[in-house]
Amino acid sequence: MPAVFSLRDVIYRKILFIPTLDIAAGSLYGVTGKSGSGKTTLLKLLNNLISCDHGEVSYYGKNILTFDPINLRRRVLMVPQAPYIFPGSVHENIRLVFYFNRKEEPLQGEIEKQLAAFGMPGILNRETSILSGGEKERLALARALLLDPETLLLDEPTAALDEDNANSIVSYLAQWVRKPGKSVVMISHSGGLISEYAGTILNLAGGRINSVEERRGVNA
Amino acid sequence: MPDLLPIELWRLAASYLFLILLLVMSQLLKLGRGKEFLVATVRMTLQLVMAGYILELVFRQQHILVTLAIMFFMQAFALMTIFGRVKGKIGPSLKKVVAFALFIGTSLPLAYFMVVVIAAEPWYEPRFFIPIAGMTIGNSMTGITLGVERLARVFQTSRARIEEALMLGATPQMAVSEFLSDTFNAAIIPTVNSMLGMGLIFIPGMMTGQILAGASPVDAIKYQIVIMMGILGSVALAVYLIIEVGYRTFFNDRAQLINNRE
Repeated sequence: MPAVFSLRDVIYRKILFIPTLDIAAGSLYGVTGKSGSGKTTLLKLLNNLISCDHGEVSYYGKNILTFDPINLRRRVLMVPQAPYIFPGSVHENIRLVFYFNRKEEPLQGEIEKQLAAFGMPGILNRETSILSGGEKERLALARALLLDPETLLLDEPTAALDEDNANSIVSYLAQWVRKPGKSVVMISHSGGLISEYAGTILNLAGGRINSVEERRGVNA
Repeated sequence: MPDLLPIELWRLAASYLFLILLLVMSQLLKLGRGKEFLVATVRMTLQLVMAGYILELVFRQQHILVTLAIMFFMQAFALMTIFGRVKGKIGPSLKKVVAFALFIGTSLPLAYFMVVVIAAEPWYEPRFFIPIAGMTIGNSMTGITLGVERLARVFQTSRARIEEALMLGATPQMAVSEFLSDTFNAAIIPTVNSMLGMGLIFIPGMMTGQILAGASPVDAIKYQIVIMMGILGSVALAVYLIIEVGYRTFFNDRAQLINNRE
């Protein structure tokens, strides 16, 4: 399988040191590690939110510095831990991210379908200020998925979710990634979920690769 | 036009009775700030006497270079005041934008004002040019300080929100547009508010000066109106430049947020 991201001799400040890493395309790639191990920094490098001081990060074999940074982020979307939900209604939130991407907003039915798939039917006109932490997290994922990016970078997407919701979201992502041209890189503290669905698990420690575990035959 | 009522020296000295009054109150209230009040009054007196003699000289000279030099001096002084207010809050690149905004934001409206609105002959006639330059630069200084402080605060307190918009594919302009409108409003509101109360709540200093100097209130009003318009244009242009050019200094050419502080 080709690599969606390849890192060579990457150094970022004193936070991340990755001599070589290939992230397989078309899979759910899990990233684990303790706090401060460099997981979020890795995702930000892939999203081009920061650039490495040394080395090279490639997207489908092409140095990410050769891409237009904004177009790259529209193809490689990142959802941070504790995502920010913009003020206004759920619908306005979705409208705003489509404006960010200069994309036509999907039909209302399609939006409703995505929200329902994440266990939030009929909330399109609800004010985001009254959403629970878990609903906000799911809304952030739903709005990212509606944008239909090639690659999704998710920083602890299930941190605020109960076990059932977390399970159904990750299982949804494992299905989504099977569509042609899609990849997911996901940070998780939940070892159980990651080992159930991820095709590969990268473990970081002190900004360095501790282990890369290929998991064939799992749900991914 | 009635003549200006001259103030004799002893009458001028008599006005310092108010300072003595303040010093007595300060003593009674045990404020311990008598020295401060004294220094402020002495400074005000010396600065004004100096300004008076310099202006007298400049008005007599009518030299374009001298007039422009005074404008540059006022701009430089305003710039130093702004930098003093925002010390430690903004980096070198934003400081350059502040200087650019102050210079363009005050010079262009001033030129328009002298050539089109007042139609002074010559256009740099120091008797008009210098007081008007002082008023536009002073007001723009306040607007720029408010604008740049607010802009720096936005990038400090809303960093995560701006970064998230970038992650989701927004251009830097899209990510901050809402904050820019807020910043513009906050910086321009004091000028607009002062226009709302003008003539009703207070008589502006310039108009008071003209009336005291013997001008008819109707003429004084005309001057006040055109000058307020000049100030409004100057503050608006300077603040617009600060936010439109200034926000870019918080991003690099990879559309990444950078740390832009001293």
